[in-house]
This record gives sequence, C-alpha cells and structure tokens, in this order.
Amino acid sequence: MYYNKIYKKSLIMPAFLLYSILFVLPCVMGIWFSFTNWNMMNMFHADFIGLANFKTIFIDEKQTYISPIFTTLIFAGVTSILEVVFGISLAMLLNNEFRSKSLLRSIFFLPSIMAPLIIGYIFTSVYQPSGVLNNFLNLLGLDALSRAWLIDNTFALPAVMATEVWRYIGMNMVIFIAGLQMIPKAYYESASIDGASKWKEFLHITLPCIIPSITINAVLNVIHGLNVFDIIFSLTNGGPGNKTEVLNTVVYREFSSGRYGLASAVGVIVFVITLLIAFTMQVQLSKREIEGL
Amino acid sequence: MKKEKLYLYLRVTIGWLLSLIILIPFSIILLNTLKTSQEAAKFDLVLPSIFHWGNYVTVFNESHLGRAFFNSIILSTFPTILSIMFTASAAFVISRNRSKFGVFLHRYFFVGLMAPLNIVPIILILKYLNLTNTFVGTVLVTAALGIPFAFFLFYGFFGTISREIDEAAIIDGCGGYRLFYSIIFPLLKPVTVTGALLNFLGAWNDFKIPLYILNSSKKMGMIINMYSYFGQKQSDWNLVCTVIILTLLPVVALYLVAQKQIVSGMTSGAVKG
Repeated sequence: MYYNKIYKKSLIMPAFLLYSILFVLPCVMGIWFSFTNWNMMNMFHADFIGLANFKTIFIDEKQTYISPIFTTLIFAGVTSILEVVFGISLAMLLNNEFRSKSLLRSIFFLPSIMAPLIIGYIFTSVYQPSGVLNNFLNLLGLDALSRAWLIDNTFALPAVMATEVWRYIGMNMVIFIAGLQMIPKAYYESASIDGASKWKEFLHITLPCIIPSITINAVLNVIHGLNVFDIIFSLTNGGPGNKTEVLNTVVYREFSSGRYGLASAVGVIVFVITLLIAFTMQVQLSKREIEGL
Repeated sequence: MKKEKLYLYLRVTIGWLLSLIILIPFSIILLNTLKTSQEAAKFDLVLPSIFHWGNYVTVFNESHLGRAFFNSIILSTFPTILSIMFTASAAFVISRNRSKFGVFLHRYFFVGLMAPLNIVPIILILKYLNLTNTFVGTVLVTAALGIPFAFFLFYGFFGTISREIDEAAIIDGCGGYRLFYSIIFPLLKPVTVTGALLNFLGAWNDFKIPLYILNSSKKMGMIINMYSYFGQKQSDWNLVCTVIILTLLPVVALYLVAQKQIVSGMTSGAVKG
C-alpha cells in the first residue's frame, strides 16, 4: 500500500520496544510475581503461591499493610483538594496586571521544578524542634503549639501533606492561570452591567469556565499523591511508627528486605488504585465541562 | 477608580506576603551554608557571625560533587536523547495512521501517562540483560519512563502539521525515512525543545530509579549523592544546607535560562488533548 511507503512502520519500533520492555513488561510481570514467593535468595526462580501475598496484605491483625493503603488515599485526597483550592486562589490573585506578577509567579512555580528529595530535606529543617516553623510560632507567642513535628503521632502526616502541597501549588497555579486567561472578558462585562457581585461572578462565570483546568489539576494531583515516595522517604521514612507509611515506601521496604513477590503485590495495588481512580475522575469530571470552551 | 487601585495594591501586598512561605525556607538554607554547625542548628534569619565560605569547599570535596554532576549529566542527557528521538518518529507514524492499529498504539502509549511503573520486576529484566548497576541500564529505564509524556507532546503537535507536506515530499521522490528525519523533524523544534527540557529535568530530579537499580557510589548522580551525604552529616546542618544549595544550583540555572519552555511544557496538559 502507498501508505506504508510514506509512513514507515519501522519508525515506531525503537520507542515501541523500549517502552514495552522496560515499562509495560515490568507492570505485567509485576502482576505475575504478585502471585509468587519470588525473593532475594533465588533471583531466577519463583513458586506460584496463589493469593498468599494478598492474604498477607489484606488479612493482617497488625495492619502493617492495610493502614498504608488508607494513609496513601488520605494523603492523595487531602493534598489534591488543598492544591486545587490554593491553586485557584493564587491564580486569581496573580491574574492581574501589575509589575511584579511574573516574578511572583516564578517564585511560586520554583518548587515544582525541584527534586522532591531536596524539598524533603528543606522541610526536615523547617520541622526541626529548633526549626523555622517553631521559631515562627514562638514569635507569635504560640509556644504551646511548637513541637517536634515529624515525630509527633498526630502531626507527622499533616506536616508531610503540607510539604507536598507547598511543592505543588505553583504547578496548579500556572494551569489555572492558563485557564482563567481563556475566559472571554465579555462575560464579566455583561455580569457587572447586570450588577452581579464578585462572588456571584466567581460562582457562575469563573468556576464553570475553568472546570477543564480543575479536571487536569485534580487528576495530576491524585496521580502524584498516590505515588508519593521521595517526600515521605526523606521526611519521615514512614514514621513515627507507621503513621506516615504509604504504599510506595512499603514497596521499597519489602524490596530491601528481599521479599520481591510481596513488593510486587503492593506495587500492583498502587498500579490498580492509580489507574482506577485516575480514569474514574477523568470521566466524571469531564462530564461537567462546558461544550465549546 | 481609586477603589480599584487600592484593591490592586492590596493584592500585590498579599501576593508578596504569601511568597514568604516559599522564600523564607530558601533564605534560611542559604544563610546556613555560611554558618558554623552550632549557628546553623538555630535555623534563624540572622547573618552568620563569621562567613564560613569554607563549607562550600568542604562539601565539594567530601561529597564528590564534581563526579556526581557529570554522572547526572550522563544519566539525564542520554535518556532525553533516546526518548525524544525514538518517540518523535513513532508519534509521527502513529498520528498519520487512522486505522485500528494506530488507535490501539495511541492508547498503548497514552496509558503510560497515568500508570505508575512497577519497579521491582525491572531488577529481573536488567539481570537478564546483564545491565544491573550500570549506566546503560539506568539510562534505558529512565528513557522508557520518559516516553509517554514525549509521546503526548509530539502526538498533539502532529495535528498541526499538514499531511500535504508528506505527500509533496514523497512525490518529489523522498523516501519514508528521509521524509521524517530531514523534513518533518526540523519542523518539530518547539516541541522537541520543551520535551527535551522536561525529560531532562525529570531524569535529573529522579531519585527512585537510581535508588532501586544503581548501587555503586561511583555512578551516583547529584540527587542520590545528596541522599548519601545527608546520611553521613545529618547533624551538621551547615554542611547539609550547603549540599542542598549546590545540588539545586544546576536546576535553578536551567530554570532561569529556559523558564518559558519549562512552564509551557509542564502546563501543556492543561490544553485538552
């Protein structure tokens, strides 16, 4: 066929092979290995053990594996919502003409390009007993609130979530700014002629028009949140106890102790949860988008 | 009119006050690089009593930062070249193919944008290929991880390049490979730059892949090098802060040079595609 002469199928091959062997294949193998006792002792051998790994994960009195599943979901849910809310607020604040606006945008965006591990270490310093946060609270006279944040049973998880939010607000902000700039100015003009309040303008013009940006931000935030690793690894490494343990830190722990089969099984759970939630959100949220915008 | 002006000033003030949440941690880290260990442990916004520039020398020598920098260059440049070159040509052929085959491949590459990589089995694949703990192995895995996003960028862009170019070239006697490499690829420059920058940044900042598959300290890139240095010097916050700043430097420099492309690339997901 003429078509095959112009568009050489062989041009697909390098990308297809690389992606298939080192991305798709590991995911498929992970599913197989999650039903085996593959371990460090015997790299090239794995016995099929049925659902034993999943039994270990789900039916477990100490809840070593169940509680990280919930922590991951809470982490992803809370950080996503906060990032969207703060992202919209910042975008609306900075979507104005003033001289320092691009400088401010660059400052807020800066954390998004930094390695999460670096951010983890920066916040390890912020949350130290003698760190910035406590110094600030003391300055306000709120000494009673200061504590060793990262080893506090109640506050370790919020502290870790706050770090993730800090890291990713800028990213949400720029996507929202792009969305805000696509709204025709005429909408606001006619609204102000009709005497609509600012709040009504936001509720009935801005919000419906930026639903596509909300969708993309929410989906990206959730994917990032469910796959969080570096930040928690560097801040708390799952502690205190297992209060901040998430699925990806469990994968690394099981991997390090040589239980590859179990590590794969937890990896499969991350994989399934991420795909399920991301797809459902995409479908549900796209339904609310306005046609033609 | 006057009221509006007042609102604007209020917004600017609030904006700058909020930016302190970003700026203060950075400032403290930066000040700490010039302090003694005892002073640094206070984490305050006070100038050091004596400027200890020596911290930079100490960290540079102790943490093998030069070696780590060049390793990072290798571990970020090669995956970027591979994934960009491979994906551009693949996305071209797939985007021109409207059959079921094309639709399937489009979805096949697209799923990778959402699906997380299951990293543990990669150890076995690399063992089979005899590539564990090597640059080549790490480069290939990182390249594979960069493919879905590059595919998303290129695929979207091909919609804007007319098929008539392809046909005109073929009629003039151009072959399929020459069509792509000498006619189409140069047209992709804006996306290639964005895609390359983002893949490079992603590879540079990545911690997980080298943590799992690259154990030799001689092959460490800057991020994992910082991790191992942090492990040794946890209580010396002056040195830790110095290594943080030095590790941040290349990325911040890149951000200052190519801010526009980086931001537009990272937000390209906002445009429905």
